Amino acid sequence: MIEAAWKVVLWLNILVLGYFLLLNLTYLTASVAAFSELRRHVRRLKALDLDDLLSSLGAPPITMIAPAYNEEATCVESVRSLLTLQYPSFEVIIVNDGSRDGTMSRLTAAFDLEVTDRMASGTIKTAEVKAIYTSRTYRNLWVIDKGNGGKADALNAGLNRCRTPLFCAIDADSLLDRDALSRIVRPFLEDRTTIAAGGVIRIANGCVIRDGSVVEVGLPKSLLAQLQALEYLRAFLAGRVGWETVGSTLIISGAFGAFRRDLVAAVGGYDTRTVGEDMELVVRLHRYCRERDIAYRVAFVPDPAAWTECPTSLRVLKRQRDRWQRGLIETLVRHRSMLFRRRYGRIGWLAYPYFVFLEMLGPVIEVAGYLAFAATVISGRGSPLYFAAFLLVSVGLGAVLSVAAVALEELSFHRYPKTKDLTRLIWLGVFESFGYRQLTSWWRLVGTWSALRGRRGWGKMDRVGFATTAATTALDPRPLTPGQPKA
Amino acid sequence: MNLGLVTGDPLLLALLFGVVGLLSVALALVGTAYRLRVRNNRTQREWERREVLWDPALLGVLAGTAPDQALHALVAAADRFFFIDYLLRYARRLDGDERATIERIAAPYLAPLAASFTKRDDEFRARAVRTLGLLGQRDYRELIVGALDDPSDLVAMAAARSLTQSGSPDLATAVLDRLPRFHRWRPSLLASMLARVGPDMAPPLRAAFQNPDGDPAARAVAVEALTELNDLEAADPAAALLAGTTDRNLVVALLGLLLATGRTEHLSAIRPLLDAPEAPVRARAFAAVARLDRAFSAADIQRVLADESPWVPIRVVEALEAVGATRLVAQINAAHRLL
Repeated sequence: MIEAAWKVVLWLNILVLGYFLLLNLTYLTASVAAFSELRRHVRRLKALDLDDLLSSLGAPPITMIAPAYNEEATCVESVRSLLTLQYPSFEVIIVNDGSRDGTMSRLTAAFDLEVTDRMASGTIKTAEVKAIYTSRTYRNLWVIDKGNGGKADALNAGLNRCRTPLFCAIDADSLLDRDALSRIVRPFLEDRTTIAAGGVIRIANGCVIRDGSVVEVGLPKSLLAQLQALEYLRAFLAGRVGWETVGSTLIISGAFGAFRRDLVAAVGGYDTRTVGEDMELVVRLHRYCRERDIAYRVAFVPDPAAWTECPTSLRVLKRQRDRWQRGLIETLVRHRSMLFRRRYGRIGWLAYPYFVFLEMLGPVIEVAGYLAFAATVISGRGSPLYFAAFLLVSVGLGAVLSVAAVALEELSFHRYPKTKDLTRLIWLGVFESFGYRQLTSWWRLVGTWSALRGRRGWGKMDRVGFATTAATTALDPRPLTPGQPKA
Repeated sequence: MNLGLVTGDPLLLALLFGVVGLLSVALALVGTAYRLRVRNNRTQREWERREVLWDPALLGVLAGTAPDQALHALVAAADRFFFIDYLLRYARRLDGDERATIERIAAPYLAPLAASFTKRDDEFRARAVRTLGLLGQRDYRELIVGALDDPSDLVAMAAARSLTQSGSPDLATAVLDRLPRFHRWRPSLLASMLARVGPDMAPPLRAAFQNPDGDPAARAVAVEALTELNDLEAADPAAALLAGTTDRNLVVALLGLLLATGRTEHLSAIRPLLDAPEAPVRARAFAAVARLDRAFSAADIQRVLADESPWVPIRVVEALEAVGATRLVAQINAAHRLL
């Protein structure tokens, strides 16, 4: 009996080793692919005169849709920041999703809002729209005041009032680079089959923010936030760029993504039943186009950036990861029929299996592996050499992947100008293997359990807001808008 | 059953090699990251140094107080491509005599760029075309026109933009003739590029959209360009073409042109399209009628609001707002609220 149990443990060890090798091989392949893609991308940007390309009337009008929930502390500055974006023709729609604080009154006072008519262009069902306002000062600013329905519902309300061919979904508390819109629209200009494009999410903690813009980039002071900064670099510059090279972008962060309005309306808008509405929408768009043989492209563009504040406490980070995992599972389960189906091409055979077997099931395998590994070593059935070798390979691979992401950043955009930040990021690549990775795996496992139990909702999030008048980040605690980027 | 590894075990050796390999790769990547950092910093410093060196001399040449040679003398052989980039920044911002001066200063440095044109990758060629277009349009016209047929879309688009920026209808017509080659690009961008040439571009555009053998997508782009140019002369042929056209995008473009430049006598050509099965066509047709028909009435408003597509009333309101018909807009909005 004991021997049989040990056989299971042994096979679990082998399974974990196999998973570990496959996962890291995928990451390595993505990093290598990202290396050549980013190099090419930077050279391509030099070949295109982006300002000139967009200075003409040919730049498609775009609507920024930003859901806001209890954002009284920052909504005015966030909207001001959006209104100063550099783009020939854009509208801003703020959707007040039933805030219980003074969000609406602050917006009304700051932008001289008046009730207006704005016919709906879409018919997606949402919570009741109480009123629509326009600004007497800024004719391209609209505010929709509606009952609370969650982030997806708020985005749908904005989508119903969107009149431009493109819209850009953003978090109300994210800050965009001034030229981010111009950059994210580029794929839509170059390829008329582009239906969606995602940009990079970067960590704003530690950056100097002035007048709603990031003017100086630096690493956060908090170790937890630093680790997330590295994670985001790895996820976006290696992961997303890598998937882009094989035309299999499956996630566009809810914090910053541009879409063709007609296609999103055709698929029914955002799904209000999931907390992973951003990924779910992209998967549904893939599915819709593939099932109807519509030529399409979902692009990832590595140069436009949205800056977001990341959690600085373990409690909040845990909730975030729990939610991401639930969103991932809900999406993958809902569209499970895409797995290994010929009609879905590379999505069905490459991206979907990756997300199912390596991302969705990953935490289960990883945590089971840690336990089996510990049991093997403690029982004396695995030698210290086995332990040491596994640890070294694990740390080594993690470090390679992280340092590769840092090198990719230096190769392409080098947004962290301080050399001490570069050094810090490199060290973090080694350091994160000791505790942080295991912790995030555990949280994702908890998220898996939450999903199995059918738990819903975003959970309460406490965050520290950006300063917009001073030159440094401020410390005004405020609640989180229901919307977090998926790294 | 054990997972023990002992000294001399082949698996252990393999793992050790793996660890050493990973360590080497990690160190190489660390080295790469720092090397890139050093390179980036050095490049930035070099740029600052060059700007300090070249700025006063360039200002002198632009002001006419120093000869070109005074600036050329400051450009080391190794810096010639940097110098071209430096001049590009000014070329984009200047025009008239100052732009001509920049082009004259750049002339001796462009030949090597043109010579290496065919040897390099897409991105290099596109950048070269853009540079030659901005700084040496006259001398390298043939090369740029030839680049319209480059296998790379990026290069061809760089050439197209360069030729349309020249302001010469003759050169822009070369782009117009090759519009189907840019079928992947957004039509509004292509139209805008062609419209930038100015009113002199209208005759070839009119000819292009009236060509029955032309590619419908290219014809639609020509119509959109004429709409941007607000070309009144195009309205009559556009109205005449409406009846016999089946391509939806071309019909929508023609209606857009009539919305902008049409007259009441064109209403008879537009009205039949109020019953078109495609919503975008109906929306544009209704908008054009609302804009052109002074007798647009309550009955018309009811019909607009009864349309199954929400875009029909939206486009009508937009068209009416554009001509300041606020009373009608208020009527439509009031009626819409009652729905």
